[in-house]
Amino acid sequence: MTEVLADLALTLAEKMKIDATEVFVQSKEIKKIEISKGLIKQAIEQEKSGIAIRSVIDDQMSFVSSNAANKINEILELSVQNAKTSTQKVSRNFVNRKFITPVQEIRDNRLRDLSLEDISDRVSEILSSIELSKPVKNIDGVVAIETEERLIANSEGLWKREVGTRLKADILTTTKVDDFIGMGSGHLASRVLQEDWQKLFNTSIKTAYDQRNRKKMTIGRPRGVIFSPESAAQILAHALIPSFHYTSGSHYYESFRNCRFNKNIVMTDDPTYPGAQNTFGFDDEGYPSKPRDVLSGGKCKQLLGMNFSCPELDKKEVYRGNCYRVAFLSNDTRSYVYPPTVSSSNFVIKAKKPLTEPLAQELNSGIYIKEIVGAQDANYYTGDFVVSVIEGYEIKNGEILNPILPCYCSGNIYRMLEDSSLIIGNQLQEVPIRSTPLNVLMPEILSTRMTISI
Amino acid sequence: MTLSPQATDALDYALKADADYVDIRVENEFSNFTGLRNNSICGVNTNLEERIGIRVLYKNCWGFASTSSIDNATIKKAVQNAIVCARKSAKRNPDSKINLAEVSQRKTSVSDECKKHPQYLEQVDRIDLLNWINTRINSRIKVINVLDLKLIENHTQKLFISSEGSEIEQILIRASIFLGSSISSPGNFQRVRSVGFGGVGGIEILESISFEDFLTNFIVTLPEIAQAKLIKPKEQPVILNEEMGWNLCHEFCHAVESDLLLAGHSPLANRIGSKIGSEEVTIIDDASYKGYGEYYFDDEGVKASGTMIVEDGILFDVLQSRETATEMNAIPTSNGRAENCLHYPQVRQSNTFFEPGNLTFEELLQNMKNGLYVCDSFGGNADTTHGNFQLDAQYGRKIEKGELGDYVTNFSIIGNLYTILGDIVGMTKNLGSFPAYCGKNGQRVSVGAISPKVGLVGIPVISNISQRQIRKIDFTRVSER
Repeated sequence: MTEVLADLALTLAEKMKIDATEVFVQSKEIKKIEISKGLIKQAIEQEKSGIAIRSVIDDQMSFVSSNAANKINEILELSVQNAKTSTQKVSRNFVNRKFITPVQEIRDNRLRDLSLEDISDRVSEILSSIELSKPVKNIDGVVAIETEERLIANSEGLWKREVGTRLKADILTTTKVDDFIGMGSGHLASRVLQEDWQKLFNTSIKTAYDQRNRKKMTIGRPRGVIFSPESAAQILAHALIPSFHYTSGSHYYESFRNCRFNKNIVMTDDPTYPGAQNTFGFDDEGYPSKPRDVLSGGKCKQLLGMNFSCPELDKKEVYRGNCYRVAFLSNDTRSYVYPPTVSSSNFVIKAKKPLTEPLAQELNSGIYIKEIVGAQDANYYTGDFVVSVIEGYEIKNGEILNPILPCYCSGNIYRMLEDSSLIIGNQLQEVPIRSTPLNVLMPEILSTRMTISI
Repeated sequence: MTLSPQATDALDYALKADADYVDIRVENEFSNFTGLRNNSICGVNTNLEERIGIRVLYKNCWGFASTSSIDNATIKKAVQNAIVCARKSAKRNPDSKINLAEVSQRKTSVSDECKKHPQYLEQVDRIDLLNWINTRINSRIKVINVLDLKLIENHTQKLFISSEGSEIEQILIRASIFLGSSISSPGNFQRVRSVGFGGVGGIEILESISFEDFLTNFIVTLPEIAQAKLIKPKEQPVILNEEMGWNLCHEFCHAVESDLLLAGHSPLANRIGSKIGSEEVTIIDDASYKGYGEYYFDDEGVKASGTMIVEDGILFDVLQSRETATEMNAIPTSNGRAENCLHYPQVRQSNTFFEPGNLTFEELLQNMKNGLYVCDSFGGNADTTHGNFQLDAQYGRKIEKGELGDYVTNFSIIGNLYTILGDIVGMTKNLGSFPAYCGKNGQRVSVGAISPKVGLVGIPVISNISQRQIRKIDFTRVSER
């Protein structure tokens, strides 16, 4: 179906004498289970498909998207009309090579073939084993499986198609012990079928229950703070990663490129990372996926870019091949509806020489920050952030001990990553950043440059 | 509406399959985005969408399916999916008690007024408008590194039909413009300013006096923010401007969304009728108000109305969908909303605001004497279970002897949602209104950011500046709460 539509759109575009045309067709099937008050509240099937067309006429470009496949003629006419008046100048042409790329293992048939009933049965079995009483008062959450097909083709002869599957689950448990309400979460994100769903629920329940003995922290500058992969990934995703996205017209990048980071940090954007959420064979302009080092040896190597966004920069400064159709603050962060833009795929942070021992032992005393909220308000121009710590623990004598009461942690991502005393752990964890298209593979990190306020 | 035959067929098909209740939502949406970045057009994007969502109730269990392919075969399959989901759910949860509160059924067609319909507007008109705004800003300000202008227009035709007999068509039209900039400050620190203006109607709303005031404010404040000083963290009296005032109100009102109350994520369930704020505080949610969150009927076919949430400091009511209203033995408040018909409705705010007070801004300043005027939001978050919240400001101005003084920047206000309303000491007479969006469970809906200026007797103000600068500030002086 996607191929027929793309072919029809390109044939019509040729008849309309459009100078260059790019067609992106996407089709998604989502099976979703919504849990509320410890029961399956809804089983939902969603189907979303549509086409997006970029047309270039006299070096001016337009973008039109629609799901009305039966109105393809009208869509192309609108695209022509908009291109003629858009004044959005483009000086480069569309990708004109038929890239042949090895497609990563992004489809798991076991996952794709799981019916909504199968998912409901699995979740139902787990829920029935958990008695909603004291202390577990409530379990909410969502378990979803998405199958996505996307096709990119253009008038230069490019034609690529890919099918992928994703599993995502977010569970939130509320416990009540005496008058104290504890909350804990469990998250799962995978390209392949993960069998142990029970663990997800157990993690969420245990975390909520453990919160009952929370202690008040002392304000000021602790000796050190260890960020869990989840919390560190969220801060990086909002305070740093957008700075690696090159979009035309910004003068900001000069000062960013001159930053001197800790030489032990290596940051790579890797759309080929096996089994990760944003692993693709090609980007949404058709460029082949490959790992791209953005930071190593203490310096920003190159920024991430796309074909149309960086005409004025030399190839040495910007990688092409990071074009995705994405949006922030949305339920559907990847969709044909959104115009192509620069975005990271799987952003991998690791140490050249990781610390193999637990970071808590290295720190001896301080704070372990497990879950945060508010990272989305970080200022990625300056790197400043203040986050609310909703799950944190005290570290004493090298051990993670009592949970702490909610507090605020502030810092600056550049100062943190410049710091020579920054220590990076060795176990990467995949963290899809909620309501964003970003996916970060992150170890624990230890920073001595954080400030705590309550 | 051209898609109504499909909706009627879907309804008939679902009823034949023994569904106890069915509602069908069909949407036809036109949206246009025009972007200008650093003097060049960077996007002329148009989106045309048609979609359908089917919700069925079978033996007190929900089934929901949606599709963006509006052909008879796909719609029929989607209806089947919804029915199958509901039946299986009923088999699994035989004790389910989901039910819908009764509402009056309507057959009506309503539309927003608009002079410059987005579908019929020439792209060149939009580009001319953006170029004019860009020239006005650039001719007055020299410190800008990046200037982004985003013009967004939206025309949505929504059809709701239900097995109870409702047939509602509504046309909602919105236009908004967002100005974003990064500016250089002494020491080469970057500062960011981001503001929005918009409302109900087409881009003719940008010809109003209030848009002129908005633009002037942007032009005047930008160079001042570039030069703004840093702030010493401490607890102090503050006046929140309209956007910050709304942010506080909005975060509090998450705690009166009945689905969160029922799930135990808000402690306010047992406090209806109790005093939760000062007598100055009255909070209203009103979808019929002409703000960015306006609609005529919610996504469950309930006629939009105002809900008095807090009256003179007493918690009076909470926001309900038809389902939660049954569970709480209450009346639906027209707050069952979905991002679009591909998603199911949940309890959401519309236009939520503090009722204006009786003071002028000057009187509020005089009453406050010394403190901080907190302006424009960068965002915020709140934990409704325990009440902690944090709101980030774009800038502020010191209040000294009842007058506005130096500009300050890079700070947040923090506190507890369940005690903060008690600290409100006054509000101004006039309301400000801005476009905003709210995200919940992955669904994003438009909401009206409407508020007067709000005076607070005291609130902790914390700095969110870089560590290099934090060293100069004694952070430990922030009083413990």
